[in-house]
Amino acid sequence: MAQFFALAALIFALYAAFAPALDPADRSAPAGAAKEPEETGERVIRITGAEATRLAALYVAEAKTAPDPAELRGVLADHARLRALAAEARRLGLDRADPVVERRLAQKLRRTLADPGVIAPPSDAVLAAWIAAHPERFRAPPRVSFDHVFFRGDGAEARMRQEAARTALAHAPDAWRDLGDSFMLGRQAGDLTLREVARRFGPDFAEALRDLPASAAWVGPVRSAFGAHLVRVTQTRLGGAPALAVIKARATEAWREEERRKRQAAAEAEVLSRYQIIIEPPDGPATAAISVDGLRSP
Amino acid sequence: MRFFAAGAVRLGLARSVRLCAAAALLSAIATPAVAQDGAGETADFNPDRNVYFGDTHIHTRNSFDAYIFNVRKTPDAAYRWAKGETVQHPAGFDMTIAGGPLDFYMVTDHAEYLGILRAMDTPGSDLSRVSRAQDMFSSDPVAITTAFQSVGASVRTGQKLDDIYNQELSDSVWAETVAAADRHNEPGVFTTFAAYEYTAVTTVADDGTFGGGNLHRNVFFADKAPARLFSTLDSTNPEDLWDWMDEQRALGFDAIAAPHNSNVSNGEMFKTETFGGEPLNAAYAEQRMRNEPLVEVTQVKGTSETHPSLSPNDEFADFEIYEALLGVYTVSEVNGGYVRQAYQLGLGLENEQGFNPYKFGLIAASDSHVVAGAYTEKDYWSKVGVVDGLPELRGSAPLGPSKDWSDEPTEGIPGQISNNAKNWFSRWSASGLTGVWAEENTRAALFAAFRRKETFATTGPRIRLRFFAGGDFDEALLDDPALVSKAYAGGATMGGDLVLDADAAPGFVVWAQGDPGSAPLQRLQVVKVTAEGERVYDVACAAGAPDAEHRCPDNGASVDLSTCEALGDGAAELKTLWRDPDRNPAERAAYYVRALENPTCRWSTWEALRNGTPPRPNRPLTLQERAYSSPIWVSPAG
Repeated sequence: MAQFFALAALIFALYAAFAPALDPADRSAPAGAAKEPEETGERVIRITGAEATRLAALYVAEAKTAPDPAELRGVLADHARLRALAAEARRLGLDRADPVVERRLAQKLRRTLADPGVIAPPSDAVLAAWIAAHPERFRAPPRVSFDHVFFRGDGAEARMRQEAARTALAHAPDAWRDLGDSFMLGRQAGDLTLREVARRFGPDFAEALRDLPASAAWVGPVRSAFGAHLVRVTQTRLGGAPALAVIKARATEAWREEERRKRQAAAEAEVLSRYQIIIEPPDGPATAAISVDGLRSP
Repeated sequence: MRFFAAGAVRLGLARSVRLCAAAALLSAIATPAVAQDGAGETADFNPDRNVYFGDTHIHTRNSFDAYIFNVRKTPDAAYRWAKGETVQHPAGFDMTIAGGPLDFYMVTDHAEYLGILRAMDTPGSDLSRVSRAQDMFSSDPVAITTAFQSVGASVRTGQKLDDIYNQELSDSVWAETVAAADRHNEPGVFTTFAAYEYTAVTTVADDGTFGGGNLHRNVFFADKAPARLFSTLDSTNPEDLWDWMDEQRALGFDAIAAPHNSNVSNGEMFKTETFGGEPLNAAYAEQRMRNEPLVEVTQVKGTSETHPSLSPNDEFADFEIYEALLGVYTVSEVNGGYVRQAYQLGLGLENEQGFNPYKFGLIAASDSHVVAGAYTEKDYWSKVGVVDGLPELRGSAPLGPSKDWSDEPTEGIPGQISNNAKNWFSRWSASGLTGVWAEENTRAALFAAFRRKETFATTGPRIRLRFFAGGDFDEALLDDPALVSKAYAGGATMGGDLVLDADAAPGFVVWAQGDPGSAPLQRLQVVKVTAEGERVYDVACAAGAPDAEHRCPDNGASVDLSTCEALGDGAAELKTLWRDPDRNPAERAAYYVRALENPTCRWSTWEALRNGTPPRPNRPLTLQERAYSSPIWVSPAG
């Protein structure tokens, strides 16, 4: 039973902290629940007969047998204990003094504010304008294809092999597949963005390739995370703005996500506007309220 | 003849019903067949094979537990995330994949009550009016947990909850799942598979919870998928899943199942007897290998390679050891829970009885329930949504008022949170990814690679491994520009078999390239397993060479714990030809590669640093990320 309540208490605590308030009315306390002590001004934890019946019924549904009197007492006592602890914690201001509780309360509110309701998809005109305003998000990046000959190791011996290979390639640029060392990711790279090149070869290599044009000539040695390479760029493709039809689904999702975030930010800003925020410098009291306009506009 | 108790007749009838249903629904879930010819269908086709990285184990809102963890993202969101988009965690922060888009991604929601919880929470739906639904989504803590536990218990026992079980609804959610996978499948760019999780759990104590030993399997279909899935509500015996998979294969739906978390299976994952307690036999071994050629060896809930008590001579055996059974604090039985021991068991069975049910390859995944996997220590969000969405909940930041771990709460809700952080979440890991060598990035090519086990597992970074063994391999091969094609032609690769004459002196090509975005490599190792035991050999070192004891010199790498900066040199790439100094030609052996990075901060240390509090005591502060290849099985000819 202890383990049951271990997970129970955990899920309660966190569900209560994070449950999405899609319809706040649904999150009200079930009928018959005791009023919280602060509301009544007393320290009374009351579990009503209706609640006790319901708890017993849940026990039956769960355990497929009715609780005996001791088990029922245990269930009700645990429930009461939990409510009393929470009430006492609130009375002692533990919720106010605890940064963890603070964070969870803020997240809970944020979650409430995060539900924006229905966001209708944008018209084609609105979407096209938004895409044009965010070129970097949808612009197809430039791509490069290249052949390369890889040389492991540093030092004189490696450099000699590179030189020999360069000479050979100057005379017979297409006889490259038997030169150099094996490279784990192959000797040819097809249509990669520079980011993909950096992920495979390291950032320095990608940078070196940035402005290399397609050419029949071999260049290098170019250093990568793994060694040195002779490189022949076989094709470059400029980036460009793809047609709306190609990116429409992705762009619509992104537009809606931005809309959702905007509405969430506006709701949070509205909450913030109800408070006067004073930030003291690290040493000594404030001499005047510090402007926090930056806080209010996300 | 396999023996199962009460369900035998019922299962037989149910099976024939399923066959009819499957045939009738065949056309409903047909997806275009993939080209099967040898020339390939994409521009990157490479007969020497390319490496592709992906996660084979992801959950969305359609899983019964993810929904309760406040996960509301769909399979579409999962695929978009894997392709590089930012997606929000249920606790409100952003998740973006590090290291660029993945090459493949599998959504594997639990088949049991697939989509049901969401329907229960949908105002106006029939399911929302059921009292279990009203309790599940009330604000009463006991009601919520009782209802959730009842679903979990049902998944564990296989006893349907008739008030909420709705096969037609789950079938329609599955149809949407398959459609989402097909929508995002782009040959040559990004591969998806229709997949799900079969959620078998051993019985620990009949206390009405879902706690127990993990026997879960992720099932992924080669291309087309059947309309109805096999779940624990059909049978809790994984061998019955294999029967179903055999039937589906005969109908044209080929699939592979990959078990995971043997570390917390309470020793039930790799046994010397069947699920029903019968002795193993050749038919069992063939069926198991036909349906489960792969095992997920590392993920958020720990790593199942080996355990320090099983491998006392392996200095690196203590990596991300996690032992708590599902949903409880009970520590799992060790024997029967680790893949290295399973390999040994399998070799023993082969020697004595001529069959080996434990000849599987290795893959890795995250098992994230928030549609996005947390693969890096530096940017870790664990796996269960709001339940572990804060450092305090994950156990990397203290809950007690003094913030120095001296006064962690023990009572009430804070005490429960503290216990769960201590026993579960603080011991979880930022893992892992599957690496695959395939001719191109398509369903057909990747699935064929899964079948032949040409896979490796990483603990998150995209370390690339190559492993070949051949009777004629020598050092000159390493420098040969045609190394890879010659190695394929003249030997076996990871996942494969090598049969050798007694006088052969085999060479092993052991090769790893570090992930340029992660720490450099420190060493390469070969783990050799026989029926008698195991031995770990360092075979290549970032600094120097292995000594007479087959150990690398210390390369002096370390971590500055005040900043988590990794210090010291390592190797971008390590490559060697290794020969087994203890080779016994008459003996069967399995060899696999383990590549280790230099040490880096563990996720919990990063979080302590950011939080300005000391790290939790009695947990590792640093770790060495690693990759494990599938083994090569070497056996004598004749």
